[in-house]
Amino acid sequence: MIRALRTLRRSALLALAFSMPGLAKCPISDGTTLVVRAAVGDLYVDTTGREPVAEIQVENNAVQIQETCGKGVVEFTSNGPDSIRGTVAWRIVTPKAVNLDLVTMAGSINVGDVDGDVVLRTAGGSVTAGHIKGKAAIITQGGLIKSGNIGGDAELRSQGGTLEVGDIGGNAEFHTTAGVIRAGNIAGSVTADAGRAISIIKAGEVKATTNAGDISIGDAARINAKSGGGNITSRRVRGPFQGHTESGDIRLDSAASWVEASTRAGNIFVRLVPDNLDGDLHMDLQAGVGDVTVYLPQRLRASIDATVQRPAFQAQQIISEFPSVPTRPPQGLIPNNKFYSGTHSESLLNGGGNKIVLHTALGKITIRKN
Amino acid sequence: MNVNCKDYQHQITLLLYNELDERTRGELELHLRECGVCKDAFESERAMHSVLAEDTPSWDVPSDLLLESRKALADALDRMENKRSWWRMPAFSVVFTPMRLLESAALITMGLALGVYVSNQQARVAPPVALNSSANSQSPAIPRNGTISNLQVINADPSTGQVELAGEVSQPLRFHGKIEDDTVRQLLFSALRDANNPGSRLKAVEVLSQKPTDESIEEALINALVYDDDPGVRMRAVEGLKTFANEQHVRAAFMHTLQNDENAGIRIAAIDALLARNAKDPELAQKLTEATKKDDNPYIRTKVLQFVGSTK
Repeated sequence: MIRALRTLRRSALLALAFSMPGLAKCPISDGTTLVVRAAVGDLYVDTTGREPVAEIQVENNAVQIQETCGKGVVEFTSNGPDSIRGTVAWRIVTPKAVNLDLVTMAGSINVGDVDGDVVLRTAGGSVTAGHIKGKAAIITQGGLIKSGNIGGDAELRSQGGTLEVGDIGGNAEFHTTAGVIRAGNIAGSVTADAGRAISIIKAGEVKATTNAGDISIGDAARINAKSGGGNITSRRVRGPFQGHTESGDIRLDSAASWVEASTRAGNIFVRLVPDNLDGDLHMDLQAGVGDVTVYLPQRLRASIDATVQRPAFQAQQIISEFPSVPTRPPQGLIPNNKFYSGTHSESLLNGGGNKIVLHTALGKITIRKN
Repeated sequence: MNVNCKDYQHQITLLLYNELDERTRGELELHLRECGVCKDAFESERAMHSVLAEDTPSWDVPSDLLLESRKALADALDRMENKRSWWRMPAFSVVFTPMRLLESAALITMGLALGVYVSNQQARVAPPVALNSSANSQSPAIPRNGTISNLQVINADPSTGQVELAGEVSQPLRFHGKIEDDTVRQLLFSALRDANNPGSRLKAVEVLSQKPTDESIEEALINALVYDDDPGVRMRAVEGLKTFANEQHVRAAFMHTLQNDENAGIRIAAIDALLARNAKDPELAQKLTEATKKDDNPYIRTKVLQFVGSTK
């Protein structure tokens, strides 16, 4: 009985769908949420519609659509056909002052500029969106996600594809298991997990992790970065920095606060440019195979402990532009000469203070003045 | 054998390595025609040189390496020049003749250059390079930025002052070349096998993907797609191979990915590549149906369904 009723309902819906050029019964006003639940097909949403309705057309006879009007919500749902020939494309025209909640189980999603919030989800396929003034959650199990600017918070997830987004007005969360992340200016904090490279132009606090690939953050209030293999670079970090890479260089062109960085194979370069010399400016830089280079302010109070574990043959191991003031007098050791040069140095700058540990297993250490 | 003969015999090695200038070479060749002792020495050394050459048919030392070696040799000669007055002291003049030092420096430099190059060329373990040093040359064969490890004293003879040391020297490697060059390619393949460094593997795949038309590169990318633990590396391999998804072995690799890769994103990239390059192939449609019937991703199942529909 129930099955018979369902069949009857489907037939009625089918008749409704194809008796009109496009479903467009429910009124759309500012702030209305347009919901689409497509069992299959690519969704194309044109947000330049001038009429206060959402028009929808599906270019495949096997797909049946139902339109439901609710308070502040207009919903389109479709069945999942047993067999499909050819592609299925949903073409939706709506005013841009709406919220979008779109789901397709199989297909890509393409959306224009939207003034409201968007939730865009697909089980597989790419998602592209224009500028979104509100919040955005965009999720695909595989495929590229590409979006313009997002005004509010943003969450972008793909198992396989690359994530590309413009500027974000709120906080951001990015996850892609096998893809790349590229983002513009992000006003809030960022959590980014990627399978490959991560590149962010500017952000507040950043937590970035990648299995393999470079992490590049132009400017950030604080950075915590980890790479399974790749370089970690930042032009400017305004607060603390913590970074580790299994293989690759770490380069901070301007660090305003404390720095803890380590690499198993690669060079470390840090230029300390603090706003406040009285803040916490400790450093712990550890390189497995590679050189460590630091630039320090001349007035910095610091206790420097530099070690080269396995020195290179006949090369200078620790080079410092600061006058060396040993923390303890030499205890009967032969002074440096052509046969012996120290590979461990402890010295005080301006009477000592911030602990600066510089270590490389194989390489050289250079300490320069800003 | 007079002193001249000694000098000429020292030059024989350089002659065989084509490292003599025209004038010296002419003088030596003239002398070899006239002097039986030196001629014998030449023949003996040439025979050894031939054996070495037979064993190393592919050792084509690049020109920049030779230039570096010659520069090192020139530096060694400069150092000798600075200390010339010291050599001329009667007590040292017999043991430390300039020619002997020149020969030592040349052999050491060329030995090191060949050793470094061959170790880069060949994956097999190269035999240790024998280095000699005289009292005046301060270990010219060991680069200043090299690191010595596992150093052992093998022999020390107090009566002669001779010491034999053994160890390992490693130094940073920077290598320029085109992807077509065998050495560059071997280094990239080597990076692909670096199990502990997914970043290096990813970059190697990115570079190799620029020339996927080459068979060995295609094979390397297929290996990365099928065997690499890192999803980013596998995804990049799909991207590198997707334009060849109509070729049989690439198709087979993508089918393997569809059936075995746990990452839905990579499976989706594989199915997209396969369908884009193999339109209306009923045999593939059948295989895909079989391969994906248990796939939990609706996108993949739907794409296959659509593909099957298009072949009917």
